[in-house]
Formats: sequence, C-alpha cells, structure tokens
Amino acid sequence: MSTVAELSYAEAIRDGFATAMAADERVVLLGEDIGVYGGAFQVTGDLIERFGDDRVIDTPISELGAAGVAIGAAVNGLRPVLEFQFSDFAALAMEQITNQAAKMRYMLGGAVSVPVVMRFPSGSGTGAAAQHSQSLEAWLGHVPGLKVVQPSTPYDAKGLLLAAIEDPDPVMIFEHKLLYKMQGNVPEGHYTVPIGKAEIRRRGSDATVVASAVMVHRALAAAERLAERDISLEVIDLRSVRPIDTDTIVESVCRTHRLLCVYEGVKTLGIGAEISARVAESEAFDFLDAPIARLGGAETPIPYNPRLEKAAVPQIEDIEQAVTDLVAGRL
Amino acid sequence: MSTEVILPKVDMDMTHARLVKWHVAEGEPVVAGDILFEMETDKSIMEVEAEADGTLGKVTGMEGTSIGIGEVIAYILAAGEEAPADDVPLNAAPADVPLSAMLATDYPASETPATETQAADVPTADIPASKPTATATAALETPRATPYARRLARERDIDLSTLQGSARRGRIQSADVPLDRAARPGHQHTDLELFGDVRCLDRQVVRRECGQRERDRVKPATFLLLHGFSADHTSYASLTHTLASKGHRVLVPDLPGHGQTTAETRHPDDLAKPLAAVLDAAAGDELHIVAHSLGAVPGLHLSERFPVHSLTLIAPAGMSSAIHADFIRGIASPASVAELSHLLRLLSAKPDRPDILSPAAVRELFDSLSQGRLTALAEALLGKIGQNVDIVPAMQRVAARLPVRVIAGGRDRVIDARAATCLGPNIAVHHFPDAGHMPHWEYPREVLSILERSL
Repeated sequence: MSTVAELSYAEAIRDGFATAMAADERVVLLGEDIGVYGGAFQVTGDLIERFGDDRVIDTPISELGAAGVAIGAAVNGLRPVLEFQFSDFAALAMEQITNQAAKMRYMLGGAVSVPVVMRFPSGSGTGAAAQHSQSLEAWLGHVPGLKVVQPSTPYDAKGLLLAAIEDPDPVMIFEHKLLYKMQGNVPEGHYTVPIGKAEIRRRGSDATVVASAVMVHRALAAAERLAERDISLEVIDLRSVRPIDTDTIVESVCRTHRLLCVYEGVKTLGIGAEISARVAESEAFDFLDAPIARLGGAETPIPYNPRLEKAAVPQIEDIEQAVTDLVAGRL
Repeated sequence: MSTEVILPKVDMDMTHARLVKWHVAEGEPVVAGDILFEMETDKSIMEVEAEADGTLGKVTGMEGTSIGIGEVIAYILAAGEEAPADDVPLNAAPADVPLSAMLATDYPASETPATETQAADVPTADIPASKPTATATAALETPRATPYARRLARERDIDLSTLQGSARRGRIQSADVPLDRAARPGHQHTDLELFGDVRCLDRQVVRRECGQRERDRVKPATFLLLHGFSADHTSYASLTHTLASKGHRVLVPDLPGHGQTTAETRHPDDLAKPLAAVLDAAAGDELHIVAHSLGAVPGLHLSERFPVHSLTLIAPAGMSSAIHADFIRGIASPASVAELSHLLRLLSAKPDRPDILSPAAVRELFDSLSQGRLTALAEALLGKIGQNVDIVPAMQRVAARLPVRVIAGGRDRVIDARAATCLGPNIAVHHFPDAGHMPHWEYPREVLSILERSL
C-alpha cells in the first residue's frame, strides 16, 4: 500500500487481478470473451497478454458449463474467478451456483471447500432492457453457503475482489455496470476489504439510509441536497449482502431514529425487506421515531424506454423526497 | 317495558358494522350510560352506551359478526321482565350452545354463566353496576406513538395521553415529547424572561423547513396565552409545547399576583396593564390571544387596545353571575392541602380521573397559594350573589372587529358554561359537553384544532 493511483472501477478490478495473479499462480480467470476481446465491459483488458491464455481462459457460450468448470477447478485446488457477461445470465448457471458450489462443503462434511469467485455485471441504467439489467443479488443472498458482495467504489472493488479470491468459500461479486467508469483512489499492491462489513459513507443525525452499489452514490447526492435544508442524513454502504453487517446498521439507527433502505432490486422480498426486519427485531426498535421505509425497484421487468427505465429504480429525487417525508413524520 | 339494543347508524352510508365486544355479559345489570358494547365501522371502533337501566337479556348479537344497522342484538330488561318472544335473528348462536356460556368465557367477572331466566330473576339493585373491562378501555385510549417517543416519555415520566402528536395520523414522535418534566402541567418552569414587571415564557422553536410540505406550511404566528385565577404559565405547558413545535411563537406570562411575577394585583381590571410590555415585544407579529377563565378579563382588555387577529376565551369568567364562590375563596387561601385537593377536583369532569394534578404539584401549589397573594383579588371578583366581573359588553365590542370564540365545557363546575349561548351571534361557541373547567387539558387535540382555524 505504498502509492495510490487514480483508477476507474474496471481498472481497479483489473489491478486486483494482476496483484492476485502475480502473487498466486492458482488464480485463473474464466469467462466469455475475457481474453483477446478484454471482457464485455473491458475489465480483464490486457491480462491475457500479461498472464497468458492458460490463466485467462475464454469459455464457450454456456454459463452452466463454465460455472461447473470453475467450481470443479476450485474443488481441485485452483482459485478460479468466473466472469458473467451480465448478472441476468446467473439464471443459466443456477444449478451449479446454488446446488453445487453453495452446498458442497456442507454435504461432504467439510472435506472440501469451493474457493470460487463469480463476478456479475448488474443493474439498470444502460438501456440494456429487461434481460440484461436486473439486480439479482437478493436471489443469491438467499442461499446459505454463498457470500455476496456489492462494491460501490474502485477501492472496494479491488479490496473485495482480493478478499473474495482468498476466501475459502464461494463469493459472488455484483458489480454495477454504471460504476465501471467511476474514478477513485486505489492503492497499489495487495490489500483487502473485509467481506461482511458495511461502511458508513457519511455521518448524519436525522435518518439513516442503507444503500448498496450505485444507490450509495445517489444517497450521497441526496444527502448533499438535504443538507441544504438542514436535514442530516447518514449513509451506510451495505457492501455485503450475505453476511449482512447488522451491527453497523443497528448502531446507526439507534442514533438517528429513522431508517430508509434504498436498493435497486425489486422492492418485494428484496434486501431492504431483510434489513428492515433485522432492525425491527433489534434493540433499535425502541429508538425508532418513524416507520421503517423502503425504496426499491418497481414490481416490473426493467423497461427499455430510457425514461421508464429511470422511473423503475430509485433516483436521487426519490431518495430526497423519501427522507424528507420520513423526517417530517409523514410516513 | 324492555328496551331494544340495536346497532346504531353513525355514518351516512353505513349499512353494517362488526360487533367487536360486549362489555356487559348477558344477565348482568346495566345503568344508562354504561358502555354496553363496541362496534367497528369502516372508520373506527366506537363504544355504544346503554340507553336504559336494567339487566341485559336475550343477547343475540355475537362478537365478531357483521350485523345490519338497526337490528336488535339484545334487550335491556326491567326487574322481573321477560324479553319479548321473537324471530331468531340471523346472527343468533346455534341453538345447542348457550350464548351466555360463550360470553362468560370472555368475561371472568361473571362467574356463573347467567341464563335468560336467571337474568330476569335477579333484582337489579342488589348487583353493582358492571364496568367496562380495563384492557378494552386501555386499548382504545392508548395514544399512537413511535417506539422512541414512548421510550422518551417513559424516561421522563410523562403521560403520553397529555401530548399532541405531530406525525401522520396524530402519531406522537420524539419531537412531541417535552424535554424535561418541568414542561408538564403543575411543575414550575424556571427562568422566565422579564417583560416590564411581568415574568413571561417566550418560546419559539425554529422549525426546519423539512418539517412541512408547501401545502401544509402555516405562516408562523404569535400566541399569547393568559392563564386563569390561581394558575400560572405551567397550566399551558402542553399547548405551549405543541404550538411552539409547530413553529409559532408562544408568550405565556405569569399574570400579576401569580407565579413568578412579583407585581401584585387587587382587582381583575389591573391584570392587563403590566402586560403592555409583553405585547410590545410581539409588535408586528400576527397575534392571537387565548385566555382561560379569569384570563378573559386581561385578554379582552388587550384585544381592545392592540392589533390582535383573534381572541379565544376558554371557560371565561364574567359571562354570567353564576360562579362557584367557595372555589374562588378556598383557592385564594386554602386551609390545608386536603382542602385544596378537594377544590381542584372541581376542575375535572372525568369521574375516573378526579385528580388533575399530582400530589407533589398540589403541595407545591398549596405552598404558593398560602402566601395569600390572591385573597384581595378573590374578594374583588365576588359580589353578593356571584361574579362582580362582566365581560359581555367588552366581548361584543371586540367581536365586532375580530373573530372571538368561546370554548366551554358542559360539565364546568366553576362557572356556568350555558351562559356562552347567550352572547349574541358574533361570537362562536365551541361546546364540549363532557369537558369541565379545563377543556384544553381534557381535549387538547380538539382545542388545538380550533385555535389553528384562526390562522
């Protein structure tokens, strides 16, 4: 961690790969078009030139097959990282992810572990329509045996990737497509961000927003606007969907007395439902001064029409209004 | 003759209601006015009172069922009387299950399930009147409050029912809970500001813009709250807090002869003069005066001489000669804490809550009144047959210029609230049939809503 460079989120992930691959030859990358083409979102870039095509491996167009190969490789001692072109294609590999990777350690009595990492470009906002824009982190977060993270900054993207590669169990990384070009300071060399730890991005006293991925940045923008009206918003970056850092959230709500969950996935049975329930079950209950509120994705496939696409997920204005209502006692 | 118990129609488009709970079991005696049962309409759960004395018999309305409006669900029977033979209503219990037995399981008070015959045989007078179950009543009276507000109220030993909720559906939130016990009725508030010769609470909370949407935004006004004989600014603690938390400036002086104000007074007409300094401090504000009881005298005096937007008189003195003279004389120089406690109970209209002040507050008040500062004022108030004060001409003069309202309690035992109906057409009267001399304590939400109408 000697020097710090300004990298994009995509570059930070690539830097993380280079760091891990240089240090540990068990680390191999798999995915569709990740080699010469450099990946659907240019994340792997020139890694094939630096590490060769036996460590940066293009797979056939079969997510189920590639997932099976990656899981098998992990069980047999490698540290594979599988890239999906879109998180929506997780549906094609669900058997391998949820029935094999997640359960093997349990079902074989701990005799094996599955240190596989899968990366899922996710979320809406790119005009990619209903089958390429979903936020499915709650799907995989529902499965014991998996770990699920959502980095929101270049720093976390690299740090969580390195933590995931070193983790003995399957880790699913949801990378929001709108964040790939986001710039940020990234230390050179090796460091990790702990899986299962949320981060308070902004301190506040009137309400807590728990958000993840791109919603963190929208919440921070809303917090700026709200500050002009003397409303002090605390913003927690969830970072890890499974396990959830309940302690950080509960401690915050005990201070601010109000909670708004903001998430891009469909509202019903989403991450916010889980966080709301955990707070309601916790000692923070006695400190709640307003009903817990949620802002989530609309109960609809993501529309192609850009205006409808925007309307289908929480925006800065929605967060600003929801917090205003929450603080004013209108909920 | 037996009295039919029916489901009353309380709403225009109401055809059915759900019978929630009987408060009296079959065979038990009832007195007119007792809570007989609860019913749930589309809008609320409400209690229905018995209309006659007698014994509840022939109960056919089952708890939890939906029943048509006007349908007979039971009878109130006089001693020895039988219920009329009738068609079995749709909601009747299956014939092989004695209804009374089912009801008895919910009502431990009636140890032996009464039958219709037994019910008719029991002489009413020998059995104490039944009471509504405590839990049912408590559930209805529990105010809506957030968990945090409840916690704060617990910690500060504040009764939630004395607070006014500012969040949705009247929910009490933490901002509605006074910061300290001192803000509660009956407790001395420290450090009043000095305006001329008068000590006066000057409270204003700068409310953040976030608190209100454009359409809800009320222009902040200034309220001058004038207390009654023997009281002080703390008698308005709840109203002060609520108005201030809505962004209004609230001025609450201790009138001459009262509380922390050291200036003395011997006559009601002298109460207003020292208040000019308080009004000067509010110059340019949109000023609304609220005056309770004897406070009506300085309230009217000021309304005639200063630019005032509205005047609200709560249980005002001086509307007629009728007054509880012993109350005034006794309060002015109480012989003992016991005597003062008895007199203070005259202020309450709620038989289940006779004591409006805590024992500590009564003792504090006794110590203050024992100094005898009010004896001359009390004598000046009272003539040979009643009040020496007449506010009616001043009210009519003021009402010709600005909105004047009277808030009166039908169970006021200090003054005669009926006099409010003879004040002429310019004066609005808000009548609370069940309130006593302190409607703003007993109906804080309703009184607040009346005050807000002047804005």
